[in-house]
This record gives sequence, C-alpha cells and structure tokens, in this order.
Amino acid sequence: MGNDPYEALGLSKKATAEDIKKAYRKLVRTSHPDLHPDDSGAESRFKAISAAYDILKDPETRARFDAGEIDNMGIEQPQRQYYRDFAGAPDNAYQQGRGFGSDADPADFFAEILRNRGRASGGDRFSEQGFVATGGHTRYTLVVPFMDAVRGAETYITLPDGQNIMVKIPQGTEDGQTLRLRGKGAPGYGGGAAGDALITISLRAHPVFRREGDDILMTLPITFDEAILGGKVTAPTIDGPVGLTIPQGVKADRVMRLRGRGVTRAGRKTSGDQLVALKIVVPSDIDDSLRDFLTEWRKSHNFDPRADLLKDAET
Amino acid sequence: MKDYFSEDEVIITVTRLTRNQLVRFMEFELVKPQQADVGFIFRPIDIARLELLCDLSQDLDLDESALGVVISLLDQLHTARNELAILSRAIESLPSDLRSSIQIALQTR
Repeated sequence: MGNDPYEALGLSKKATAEDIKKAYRKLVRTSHPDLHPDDSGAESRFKAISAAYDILKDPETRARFDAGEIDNMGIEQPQRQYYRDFAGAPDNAYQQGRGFGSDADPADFFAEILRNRGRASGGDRFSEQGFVATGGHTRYTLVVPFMDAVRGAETYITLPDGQNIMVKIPQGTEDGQTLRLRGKGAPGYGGGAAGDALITISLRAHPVFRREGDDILMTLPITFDEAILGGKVTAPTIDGPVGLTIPQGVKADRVMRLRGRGVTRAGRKTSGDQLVALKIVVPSDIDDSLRDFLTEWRKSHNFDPRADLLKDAET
Repeated sequence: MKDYFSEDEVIITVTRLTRNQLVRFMEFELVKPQQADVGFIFRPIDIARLELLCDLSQDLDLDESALGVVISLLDQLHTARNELAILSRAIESLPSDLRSSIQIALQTR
C-alpha cells in the first residue's frame, strides 16, 4: 500500500466525516471483489481502500494519523476470503437453477464466452484493441419557471467541463419530464460515440396557476353578491386576462371551464382547458346597511343548507 | 481454515456480525447454514457470504429487502458463470476442427 489514506479514498485532509463515508461507499461499489468477480485487480484495490477507511472513519484514529502517531498501515487487515472464491465451487448451495434450461438460448452463452475472453486478455479493458463503446449518459436536473415550460423557452446550462449548452424547453413541458441532448454526455471509449446528457425538468411552482396534464387550474375569488346576482368578471389565464360570466346563483364549489385556454403542447392539435374554481369571498369590512339587511333577511327566511347533512349523519 | 463453524464461532469469526443480525440474515434466507442435531453448521462459503452481507448492509446501508435483491442477482451471476465454465471446458475437449468451426461461428456473429 504505502499510499496516504486520504489519497487512497481520493480525498483531501479537509474532508468531513460525511465526505469520507461517501467516498468509501463509492469505491466499495466499484472495487468490492464480490461485486466484480471478473476484476482481478479488485481485491488489492478494495484492501487499500478499506485499510484507509479503517483509519479515517474513526475520528480518534484519524486524529492520531494526522498527528503522525500512527502510520498509514493503521490496523493490519485480517486475511479475508471473498465470496467469489467459493461461489464457483460445484457444490455451491446458493446456485440458482442447474444446467441449461430448455428456455436458454445457447447463443447467449457463446456470446458471453467471447466477451469474457476479451476481458481476460487485456489489461485495461477500455483501451483494449477493438473495444468500442458508447460513453455513459450524464444526468442533470434543471429547475424551470412555470411559464417557461408552458410557453416553451430556451435556456443555457453549464456542463462540468465548463461548456455552455443551449437547452430548448419545448412548449408544454411537464414537471419531471426528461430532455435528451444527444452526444452531450460522457465521451465514448475507443472511438465510440459520446453518451447523452439527460436533463430532468423540475417546474417551479406558480403563485396563481397549477397544472394537471394540459389543464391549468386556478382559484378565482368572487364576491358573494357576484355569486348571487351573477356578473362579468376578469380571470387571468396563461395567455392574459379573459372575461368570464358568472351565472346567477352560482354554486360555491362550481368549477368553470375555459375551453382551449390550457397548455398547448408542441406537436399536438388540441390544447388543454383552464379550470377556474370559484371561491366566494365575504367583505372583511361589513357595514351597517349590509348587517341590517341580513338581520332582516334571516328573520323572514329559514334557508338551512345543513338540513340534509344532519339527517344523513344519523343514518 | 476450519471446515465447519458453529453459530457462536461465526459470531467470533465475523467480527462485525451481531447475533441479532445473523438471525435476521437467516430469517430472510440470505444465508442458509446446514441444520444438524447440535444446531446450525456454517461452512467457509457461509462465512465469506456473511462478510459480504456485512459489507453490503453496514458499508452500503442496504436493508434486508435490498440485500435480497443484490444477493439473488449475485447468485444468478455466479450460476451463469459456472455454466459458462462448463460450456468452455466442453468446447476445449472437442477435436480441434470442431473447435475452430465454433470459433469461426462465434466470430461471424
């Protein structure tokens, strides 16, 4: 080994306990011999990283190492046998299924042999002659303002290599949708094509509008007199304000539909609707005339919207 | 290395493993020791498997259901590898002309 434990985990001396754990976990995934049975270098890599982690995971041994009290040999690693050393034994009790089932396509096995041979012959499998593969996809998350996704927009993102790329947000993009930028991911191996950049769109909430598929939802406050007498009001839509006629005696939970005022999606003929939920609002300042009128009105009327409710509750 | 381990010896050998954890691994059939009159008997393969289970559960924070998925996939991987090895040996034992026709058939795919 002889390496600095920080170096072995790819960290600096300033790393936090969380950084150390994260780095170790990542390396376990890529270097655990049992997770990579074909990788002959995995064992020595895993040994080095677990020795390094043994020193750094405990704040006390880490402090002692930093102070030069213990060297990087730290705690001697016990000899260990890995599961893969046993897994190939013919009497392995954990084998699933035996022999070639009738549904196994023999061609698959030959193909696998070829692939295995390719791996065993060269050192670095990626630089190996003839090995060509597409690069990996890289994933990003992009927060987009609500209206940009509704109307469509163009924005720029900066890739880790400093490159700026333009991302076109198509009209009607939904929350959670993923855009694919071909060839903007990780470079390919051995002359293979680069992978794609996959950008997951996260929509920023709008103070007024919500979205359900292609429909726009909003709540429109109306006064109680507008609810009783009806009237013309103005409602905002994503394309600007429109007039809306409130029918006389409208029910408080009525949802009005403005056809075609929802989201238009690129490549689709019909647009969604805007659904307007009405919310009856009582003035906060109640003047005498209103109070007098309602007091009189209450005396002469026995309108009880809860009559049925109380009856139903008893059954 | 010993050939067989008792439950107590397993706890001592696999230092990170607690008895509770061992019982849970057995409950979920992640490790399947042999049953004998004196209790459970563990083989070296079980020890190695328990070390791996400790790595996955303690270092990578996998819970039992995730462990079950990973271990099942690993078992399938090893089964497939064994079958391949058998197939390779079978091909190796064939007369050379047959082997070269197989080679050609593989390369033209």
